[in-house]
Amino acid sequence: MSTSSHNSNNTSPSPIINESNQRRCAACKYLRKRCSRDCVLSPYFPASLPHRFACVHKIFGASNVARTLQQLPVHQRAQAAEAMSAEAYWRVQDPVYGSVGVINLLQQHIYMNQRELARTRAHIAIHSPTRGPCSPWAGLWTSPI
Amino acid sequence: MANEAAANSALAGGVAAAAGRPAIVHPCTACRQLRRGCRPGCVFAPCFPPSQPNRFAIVRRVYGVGNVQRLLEELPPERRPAATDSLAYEASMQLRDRVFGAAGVVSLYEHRLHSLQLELLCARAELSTYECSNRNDANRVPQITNQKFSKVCGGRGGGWGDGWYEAMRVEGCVSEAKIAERLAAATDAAVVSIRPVEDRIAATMTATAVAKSSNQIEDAANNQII
Repeated sequence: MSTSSHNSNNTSPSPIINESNQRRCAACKYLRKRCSRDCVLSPYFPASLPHRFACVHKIFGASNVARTLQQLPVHQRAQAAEAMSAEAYWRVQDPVYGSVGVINLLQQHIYMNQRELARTRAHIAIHSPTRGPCSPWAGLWTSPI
Repeated sequence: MANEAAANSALAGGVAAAAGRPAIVHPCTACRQLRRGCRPGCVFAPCFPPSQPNRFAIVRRVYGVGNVQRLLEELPPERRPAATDSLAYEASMQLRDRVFGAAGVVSLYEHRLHSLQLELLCARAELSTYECSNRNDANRVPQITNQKFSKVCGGRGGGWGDGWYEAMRVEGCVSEAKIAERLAAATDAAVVSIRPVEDRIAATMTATAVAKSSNQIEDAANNQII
């Protein structure tokens, strides 16, 4: 029996340790710690997306993320993790403005589309049959604008 | 104002040191909240003025002191105030909406932009039909129903009213088949309800340079918090 125990010490690491290493989430793998069964980050930061947690950890920190998720109901944690991942990604891409730069860009696009829509509607009003002096449809309906 | 406070504290320390007395450096807002001594080269001093004590509190709560300090130290000094403004805005949005935070605002604007683009697409399709009808001036029998047209262009009352469409269909002076073809090509399978967004966008749009003005960021954050 001692021989078998001695032999077991000289073999490769036990399958239990290998199995736990394979089950580690991206967060625990990044932090180099054991991933417990009740790890709050594992459902939202799988090992297949290591870059995602790297961004979140760089901006918010693992402890802040874990605390934020623990304070939320379970059914909202996935959306919160997704939102934090997006904010961290935008901050990594633009360290100065982050998501505010994205908001500013969207506002500019909205403003441009508003102007274009107003101009198109003005053209529609010009081409509308109700505005023509000899329109055969005059008086039959209200203006669509 | 923040730079003046930092400069005054440094000057006071220098004067006191020259007079042989121990230098008294008034801590900045961040160091006061952290209850530590404020060094002359403190990275927080220019970014968190005493006039906004809650600013550092919310940034610290969301990001943590170490993360904020590292983020600011990685930036050149002239970019740090703008970065602080954006961090404060994101932190305020995160405290206001614990689930979505600032990403929820981005999602909202993306949705509005998408609906606005659809509305623009329909308007362009309608304009093209007018231009075609003016050029061809053809009278063809209507082929499509009013229901399909209203589904594509939305259920807005008064704008795309049934009366207008019915009158044009009766007169037969506009090719409904052409309208349907162009609108279907423009909107594809997006049978969505297109709502006017101008009023809501005008109410929520801030000025163009949001992140370039600390006052605008602060006002937006305060308004959102309130």
